Amino acid sequence: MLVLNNLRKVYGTLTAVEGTSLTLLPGDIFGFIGPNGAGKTTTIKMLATLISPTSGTASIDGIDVIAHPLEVRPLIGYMPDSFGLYDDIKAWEYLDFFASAYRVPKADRPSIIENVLELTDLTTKKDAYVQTLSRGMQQRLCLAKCLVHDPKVLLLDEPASGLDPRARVEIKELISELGRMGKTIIVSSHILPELADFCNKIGIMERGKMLVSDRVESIVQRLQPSKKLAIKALGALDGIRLALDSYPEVTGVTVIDENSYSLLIDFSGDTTAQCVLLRALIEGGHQISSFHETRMDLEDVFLRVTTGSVQ
Amino acid sequence: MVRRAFLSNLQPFWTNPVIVRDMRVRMRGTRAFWNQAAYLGLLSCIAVFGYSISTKLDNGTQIDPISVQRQLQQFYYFIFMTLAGLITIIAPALTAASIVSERKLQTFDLLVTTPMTAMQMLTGKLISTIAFIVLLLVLSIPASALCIILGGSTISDVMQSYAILLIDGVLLSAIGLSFSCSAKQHINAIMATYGAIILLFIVCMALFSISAAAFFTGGAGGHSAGPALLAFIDLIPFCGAVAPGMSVGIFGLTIPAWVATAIVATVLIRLILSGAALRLGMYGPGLTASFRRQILLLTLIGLFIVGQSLVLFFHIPVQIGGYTTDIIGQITFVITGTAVLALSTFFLPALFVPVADEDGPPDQVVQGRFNVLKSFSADHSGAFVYFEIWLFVALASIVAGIVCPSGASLAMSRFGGMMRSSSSSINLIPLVMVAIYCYIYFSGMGFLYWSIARRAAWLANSSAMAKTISFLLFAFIMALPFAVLGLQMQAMGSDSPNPFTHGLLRFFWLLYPYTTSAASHKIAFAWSAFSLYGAAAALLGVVIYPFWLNVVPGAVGAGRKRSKKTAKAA
Repeated sequence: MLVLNNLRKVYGTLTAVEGTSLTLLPGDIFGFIGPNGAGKTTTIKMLATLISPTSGTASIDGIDVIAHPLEVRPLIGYMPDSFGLYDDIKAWEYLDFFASAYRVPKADRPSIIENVLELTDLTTKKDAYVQTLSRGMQQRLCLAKCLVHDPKVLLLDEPASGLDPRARVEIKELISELGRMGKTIIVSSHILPELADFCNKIGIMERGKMLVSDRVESIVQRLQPSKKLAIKALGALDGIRLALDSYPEVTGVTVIDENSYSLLIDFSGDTTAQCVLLRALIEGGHQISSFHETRMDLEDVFLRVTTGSVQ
Repeated sequence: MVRRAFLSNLQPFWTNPVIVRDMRVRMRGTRAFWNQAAYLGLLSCIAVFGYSISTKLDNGTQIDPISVQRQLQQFYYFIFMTLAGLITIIAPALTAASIVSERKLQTFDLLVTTPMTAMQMLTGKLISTIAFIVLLLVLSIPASALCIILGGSTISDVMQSYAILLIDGVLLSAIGLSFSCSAKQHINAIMATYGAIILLFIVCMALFSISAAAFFTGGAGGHSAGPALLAFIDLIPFCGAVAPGMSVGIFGLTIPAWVATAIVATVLIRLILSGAALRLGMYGPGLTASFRRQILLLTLIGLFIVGQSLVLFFHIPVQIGGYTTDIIGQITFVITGTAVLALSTFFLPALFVPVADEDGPPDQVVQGRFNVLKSFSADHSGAFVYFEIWLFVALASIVAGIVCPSGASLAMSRFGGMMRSSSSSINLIPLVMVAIYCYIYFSGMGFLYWSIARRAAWLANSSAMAKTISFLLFAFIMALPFAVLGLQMQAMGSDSPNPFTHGLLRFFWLLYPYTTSAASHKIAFAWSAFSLYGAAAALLGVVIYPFWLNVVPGAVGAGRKRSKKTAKAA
């Protein structure tokens, strides 16, 4: 659906994007993470036919983005990070304007506008002027604008920036729904938890370089050879710590909180070894109230792969 | 079927999204109502004020009808000067802000990612501004009606003044739009626009002064109407709106000056919009380098042609002892003709090849079929290239007709061939026919060169190879006349000249751009032959051009390897 091959953009001496390659399938939601100035927006703009790459190729649905921008444009819905809304225009007129710009037949437009307004939960705001809408609603309206021509690929640059937590959740749900509808979506953000829930693939970019890009699980697995187990006990931790020392699989023990008796251990063994450890601890008379594997989240992945030199 | 095709070509004009949105927004709410009310109020005040200062009527004094008439005419001037001022200030400001606003509001990127073309966007902006100008003018009818009622002017004068104001308003808006495309700030766009407008006014004034001086001092040569260059004054709203009823002569025809103004303004607007569309860079991811080169070169050639025409039009043959010597004309023609010939031989085919291999398949070939209408589209593959040549030639012809009605066809005939005869032996032909002949010839030739280049790109594997093939094909065509000339020399050696080779020679000479009708003294015949050969060249181009192969002749080597897209479609 979407293939980037060694895409590169150089401005004078500054390399904004360095040899980025990527392949996405229909239904993929690709989270594009990186600090500000990493090159996310440049990459997205190149895909949106707004700027031409210095070298490399990109194709959407088999059509070369650089050679046939006019043919690619109807296939993409682009939402820039800072987008514009015209003043003195009603929500439905805004959508009608873009539908007509995308050459949607006039007869089909009213029903399409109804549909996208419903999808973005803006039906009640159909006749409201766009400048009167809240930031979250404007954001959703811009997303609705991207959908009027039923594109196959959505390029969403920071769709949730500047939103309150509730609006953020709403837009995330909307994006997941669009992914389920089979659209290929690229979502960029510099805030990680935003993307953690609904992306099935992520790419981390820093200083124009794509550091990693893969399925979320495989990245986590790759970066975290040992598991982390969180243990919570009733009473003193000393006994437990002593017991843990005798297990070779336990490579490290960190006390999280002495008062609430919780520990975090690095565990290199498999699931069976995990069971054995739990049974041994209980049989040893230790009072365990909680024993679970903690999942490394995207935030950790991000911190681990980036050096933090661009902020 | 034809009707539908015609309608679908016109459709963008009334379903243009930009027009629909601008119209919706501009007339919205009570603000528009109050603005219009204020505008009318202001006009009324100006009318009352104007009436009081232009007709200083004291109750007691007697006044003769002539001075009453004069004073009422001053009132008419006053009203239309005010309207001209409003149009000059408002029309360009509206468009100068338009594209900059899109950029500022950050809606420009959203527009670019839609399949809307730059031209569509610009015409949309222009038409919605025209609608607003029309509104302003219509609202002023109560004030201008006073002029008619009071007797300061006639209905036809007022209508002409309005027509001129509208034409000028559109031209000024187009200038504003053009600067809006490149400016980053509103203020820059507006300043540049007003600067350009002042420059335009100065140039128009100069042209007017030159022609007026020539007209009044040099003798009108039996023309009752002034030379058409006078019409340039109408491009200045302040002058045009108060000088109705002027007419100019082109080729003995007397036409109202505002019609000539409309023609000149239309050509200017088209050029300005094309330039603006290029600056917007929405023909793709920026302009391809080859397209840029091509436009630059063709613009140079066009300017060259115009310059040469101007030199020819303005020089006066000197009569010495019964002989008409035409040194300047001869020199200009020989030098420029040779230069253009050399230029076209070596650069023209090479010009088209990079387009073929760098810029992808042409838009006018839709699934292997040639769409003639699309060849008029202003893009890298469209007929823009020869359209531009044609535009310059047409412009040159118009200027020729304007500057010197009788000299124009003389000069145009020099254009066609090295005429040594004096003007008395030349059969003058109407300028419009010259323009049509020129168009057919240049577009035919353009198409021929273009198809050679496309064919070469289709055959070759690399750009260098394509250029070589293209050059060889072109050199072959260029060499043909010489081969035929050899034949003719042989024929002339014998006592009976061969009419067949003679005709053939004439035909092949015409393959050169710019050198035509060299062998003919009958200009009318030469010009019609000129167009005939243009058509023949186009036909030849059709044969050479590989569109019938049902392969989109896009990239270099497309003949061998189908492009990915075509393969998929198949």
